[in-house]
Parts: sequence; structure tokens; C-alpha cells
Amino acid sequence: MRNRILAGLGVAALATVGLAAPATALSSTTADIWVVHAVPGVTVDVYINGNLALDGFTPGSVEPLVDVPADNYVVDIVPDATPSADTITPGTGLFGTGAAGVDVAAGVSYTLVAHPSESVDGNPLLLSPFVNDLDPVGAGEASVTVRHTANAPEVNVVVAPSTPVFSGLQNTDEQTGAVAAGTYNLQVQVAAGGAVAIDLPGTVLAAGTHYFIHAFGPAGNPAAYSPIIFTIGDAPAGVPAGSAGLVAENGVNPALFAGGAVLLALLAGAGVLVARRQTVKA
Amino acid sequence: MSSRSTSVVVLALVGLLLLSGCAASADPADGRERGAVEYDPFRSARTDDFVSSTDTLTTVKSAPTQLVVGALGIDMRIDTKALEPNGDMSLPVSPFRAGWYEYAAAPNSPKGATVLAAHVDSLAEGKGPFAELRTVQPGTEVSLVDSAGVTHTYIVSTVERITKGEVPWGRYFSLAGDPRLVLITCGGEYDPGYNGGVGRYTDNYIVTAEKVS
Repeated sequence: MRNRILAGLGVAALATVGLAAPATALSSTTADIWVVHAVPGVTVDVYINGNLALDGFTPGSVEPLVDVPADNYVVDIVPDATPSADTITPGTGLFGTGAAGVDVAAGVSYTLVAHPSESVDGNPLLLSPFVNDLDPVGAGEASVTVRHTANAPEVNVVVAPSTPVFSGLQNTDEQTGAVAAGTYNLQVQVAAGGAVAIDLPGTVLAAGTHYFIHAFGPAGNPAAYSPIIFTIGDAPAGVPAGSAGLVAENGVNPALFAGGAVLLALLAGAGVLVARRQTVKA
Repeated sequence: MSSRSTSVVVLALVGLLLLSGCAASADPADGRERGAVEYDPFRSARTDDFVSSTDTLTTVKSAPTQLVVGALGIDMRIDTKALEPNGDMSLPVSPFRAGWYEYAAAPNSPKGATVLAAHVDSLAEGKGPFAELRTVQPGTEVSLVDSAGVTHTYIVSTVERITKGEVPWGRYFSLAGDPRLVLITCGGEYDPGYNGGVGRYTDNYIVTAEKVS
């Protein structure tokens, strides 16, 4: 009896040190790519390696492509056609990665943003890749990433009216920071003069959540800027949701065998075990 | 005296055993073919195009507090849970309570998956209600009550059994896509020798239900 309990003790000690957590919830062989359409006024088709991937992708939209095998991809953006061609010659779109493509590594979360440049007319259009920072933010904090992907000059991000969050963001720049979970009156302000470009009163930033905010515009009449947002939560490495083997589908009820000592300890309680052991000693 | 303190330690470690019995998600695949999900990211992802909305930034999550699956006789209270230090989802110790993962969506979120998980069993309390999930049929109605007293209704669309280590957790714990409910527990074969005798189930059962109201 004593030996079995000691054996159980060793097992339990192993259990506490033997569980390793993967660094990321992403697959070790694939990537995720979030495609963001921040070009105002034009619905597009997105081709990957010449094959139609997103048909009729509207401005302001976000599309997550998950479990994308690690590789080099040529991405082309073309104005939406009806019907859209199933294939085009890679590298011949209106804009995109060009024939050189973009390298996609396993275990990484990316964003590809189609957006205007800062020039007077917003041309050339750009397809900018970003790596999504998914380092776990933990209890009580949120992660905020702001990307300047609008046809606009340098901006600052503040908690209204003027507490700085991020400063000096230019077209194609991004900044990331952790903030306490809570509700904020966020604003994007033009650096020169402080005009409010995007007003986000009552923004709720939840714990364990990564916010990716993309500046979009100008669009509409009067010309306005807006955010394109997606969020990714901290994901667990696993869900250990059983412990006794009572509903095993291999017909074994191992709790009665391997777990016998444990079960007995539970049912008998410490007092009985102490008594037995003392009896043995005596 | 030394005997008594040893026994106290034993009981404390028994508690640890109960918590970690079906643990460890990161071991390599064991070669069985079930669980591998064929998925073409470029062809099939398009079902879920979404236009960004500032709703994402203005919703205060209402935690779910009660889960009812009438067809399975499930009526459980729900605790709010997050992560264990080792990165696994934290679960209520009792298989008769479900855990809501607070870093994914809530029932009132405009997008994403509300994720609940519960132990399928425990040595202390036996088989729990989530043991019935493996039998659920597509079309079954599931309801959640949230902390504001609002009832949310879902219809089961898929039941999956996936080998641990092959589950793409990021896809299930997603804040993107149509609002839905994901219920997770353990199942499959039991491997009593896993991790030096701790033991665990080899698979996860994952039920997905689409929100209808």
C-alpha cells in the first residue's frame, strides 16, 4: 500500500512539470493571412498565384485566410469583373506583390492591406504586409495595433482630448502597445494641427484580446475616414477536459486500475492512510 | 507526525491529478486518420467575408451563466474562465459546471465564437453532462442565458472528434465570423499510461452551433 501511494506521488510530481505549452496557437506548418481592403470606392478580386481567391471583395472588408501553407505567394488585386476570371497570369494585376511575391512563414499571423499611398491622389495603390503581434497579453490587458493605411498625412492616436497613445504614424506605419482593459475615447488626429480624422468614443478594449485597427479613407461625401477592425483573442494551447476515463471508447476503465490508489486515497481519506501506515510501522 | 504530513501532501497531489488528468495538447499526432480536416484556405474561406464594424469596439461582453440542451438533458451553470499558466484553457474542477472562455466572444458579441468547455468526467464526481455531447444531432437547439438575463438560441451544425495535437484551436476560439457557440470536451479512447500514468483521453469532441436568435 505504501509503495503504491509513493508511486502515485512521483507521478503527480511529473504531471506538474511535464506539461509544455506551445508558444503559439498557430499551426507549426501553416500561417494565417488576414486580407484587409482599405482602398475606397472600388470592389476588387484577389488572386493568389493566379487563382481567384476573393471574388467581389468590397472596400472596408476583412477576410481571414487560415491554415495557409508556408510558401511564397504572388498576390494580385484587380477591379472586380462580372464574371470574374478563374485565373490570371500571376503578377499582372492592377497592383499587388508583383512577380516576386511575398514570403509566408509557418506559425505566423499576417495581415495584407490593400490601401492608397499618401500621395495627393492616393496612387500608387499599395499591398502592404504586416505581421500580427499575438504575444499573449494576459489578464486585465488588451493589445492594440494601429496601422496607417489611409490617403492621409502623419497622425497621432490619443485618448481624447490629448493623452498620447501612439505618435508619428505615417502611411504604411504600424504601432502596437498593451493597455489596461477598459473603455476609452480613442481618436486619430492629424499630427499637424490636431484635426480629428477618426473619432471612436466609448471604445471597449477587452482583456486577452488583440485589436488591429486600420485607417481607411477618405471615402464618401464629405470625405471621411473610418477604421477597419478585426480582433484576435489569446487562444489556449489545449482543452484538457476529462480525467477519469469513465467514458472511454476503447472499453477500458483505467480509473479502476491505474487510478486505483488515487481513488482509494480519495474514498478513504488521510486519516485512514495515516492509521494504516502507523499500523505497519508498529 | 512525518506520516501525517506525507499524507496531506498526497491528498494535495491527488487534487493536482484531478486537474491535469486529460492534459497536454502539444504531443505529436498519433497517426490515426480521423481528425485531419481537409481545408483549402483560398477556396473555402470565402464563406465568411465580413465588413468591419465599430460594433466590435463598443460591445461590452455579457458572460453566459447557464447552458441548456434540452434534447440531451443538459442544464449547467457556467463559470468565467481564462488560461492556466501552462497555456491550456482553465476549466471548472467539477464536470457538472461549464467554463466560458472570456478571451473569445460572448453571446452578445456581434462576431465570433462563444466557447464553453467542461470536463467529461472526474474521479470525484463521475461522468458529467458533456459526456452526452458525442451523441448530439445536427439541428439540436441549444440555449444560453447571459449575465443580463438575455436568452440566446443556437442550432447545432457540426459535431467533430479530433485527435489532440491536431486541433486548430485558433479557428475555434475565433473572434471573427458569424456569431456561434462552440462546446468542447474530451473523449475517444483513454490512455491510462499517458504522461507517466496521469492518463488522458486521446481526442477532443467539438460541437459547433450557429446563432439563430
